[in-house]
Amino acid sequence: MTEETTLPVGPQHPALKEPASFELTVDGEEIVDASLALSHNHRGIEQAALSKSYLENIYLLERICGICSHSHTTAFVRAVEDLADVDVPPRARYIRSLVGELERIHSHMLWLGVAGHEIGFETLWQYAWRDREIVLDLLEALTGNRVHYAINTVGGVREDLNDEQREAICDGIADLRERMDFYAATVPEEETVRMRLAGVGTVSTERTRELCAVGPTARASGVDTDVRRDDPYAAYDELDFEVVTDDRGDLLARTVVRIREIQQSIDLIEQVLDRIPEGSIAPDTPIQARTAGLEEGIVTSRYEAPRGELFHFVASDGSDEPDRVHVRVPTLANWPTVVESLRGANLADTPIVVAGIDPCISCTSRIGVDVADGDDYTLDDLREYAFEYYGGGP
Amino acid sequence: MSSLETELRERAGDAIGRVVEEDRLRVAIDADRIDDVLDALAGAGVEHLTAITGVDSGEAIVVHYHFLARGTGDDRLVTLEATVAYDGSIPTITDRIPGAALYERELMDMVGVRVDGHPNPEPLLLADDYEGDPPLREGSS
Repeated sequence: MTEETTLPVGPQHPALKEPASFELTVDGEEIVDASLALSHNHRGIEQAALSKSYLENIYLLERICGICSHSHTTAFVRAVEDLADVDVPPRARYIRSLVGELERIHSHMLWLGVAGHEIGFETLWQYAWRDREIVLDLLEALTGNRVHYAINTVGGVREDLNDEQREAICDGIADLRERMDFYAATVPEEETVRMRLAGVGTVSTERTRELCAVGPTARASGVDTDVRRDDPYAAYDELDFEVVTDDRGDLLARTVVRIREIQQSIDLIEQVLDRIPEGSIAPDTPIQARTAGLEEGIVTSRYEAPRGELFHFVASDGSDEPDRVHVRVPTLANWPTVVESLRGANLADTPIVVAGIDPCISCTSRIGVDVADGDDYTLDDLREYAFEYYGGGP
Repeated sequence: MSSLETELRERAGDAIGRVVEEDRLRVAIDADRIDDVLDALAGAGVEHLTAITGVDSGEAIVVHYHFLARGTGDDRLVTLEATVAYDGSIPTITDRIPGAALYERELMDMVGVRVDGHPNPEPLLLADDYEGDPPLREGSS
């Protein structure tokens, strides 16, 4: 006899320290259906962008995400440069790729740690996060910050790479390469990892295509796609790298793809340090002049963020504030594959299946409205409101 | 005229209107005949939907469907623009392209375009108890 039960998972910390809620229909231990509710965290960024200048928006959009912040600024400035018809000097393009690859490493290492934690393999979590500190230190040395680098501006970058930083990066990534060789050799063969990830959360190549998934999630299901190769930006048309794919489509494949992508990023960083041309890092014109007198128009821009294809749409009405900014983050494109992977999975696998796409709720829930309607809510008011909403009482 | 454009016009006829922008293929389409256009795109091998953007033009809502003509080292964005009256609706494309499901819900939430035939037209990004105009319509309060 079968008996189906519906279980709510979330919205508080379903797998990650961010809010998302899932309604799982289970028959015993097996999940037979799943649905998701995403937006518990409205931030109103797309609306806020309409009342800020293009330059202010670089810093606003950087705060869409605390992990892939450079992805958002690069996608946005690329769109604005297109609108303003500004050329980016070669040295600046290389620095954008350099920061982009360091960011990819830090994002993938963060994920590797989270994945370890979700499967109860805390040693992997601690190892991965310890080694991730190498990249965070390099990013701090280069830009002054661990996560919000503020390196991009319209027409170029704001900080040059000096010899001392270059040497530090060389040393840092040499250490990291050793660590990654270790992970690449051990993680896919490790018994705990295989037991929890092999054959779990599988999505077929065909289904991945239908669901229009992106990034490592798509590549681990055999879809050969990468914006860096297919629609090159920054310095990628002058750099050599391999687009890592795997046909298995399970969580183990996603892990292997991300580890090998870090190795590719290390190669890319070495090439950047080797080939970066001398020269200026931004046009000589004042930054305000670069975005003055923009034409009316609509531009789009794509970027290979750590989680996959990121898309920015910017419409200009000729004023100094955008008329519309639309952001499609990779996590939104990948959520449908989570629902797909949950169906048929074991209930206990929910956290790692959800974490499998490396979801970023902060990115996805950036749109929204001012629910407080202009009133100032204190913490006590919100507490009262919560009790009222959920029908309970203190 | 690019070869992709020629192919689409051959397949979908006058469901495809004028070319709005030359650099990437950006064309106006007849919203009611989107099925014909999707047939033409599928025939030309264009399957990846990158995003759906709704823009309030001040007179109507313009829905931009951003597709990707994928090729190794040669991606090309194909944007279809359908214009929908404020109180109008467009047919869903989720039955044809399952990846459109969340984007269409975002469209319904943020600019208030009705999407006919959507399998799950629940709010996606707005709060469950949100009452008000679609937030990204001009003059929304």
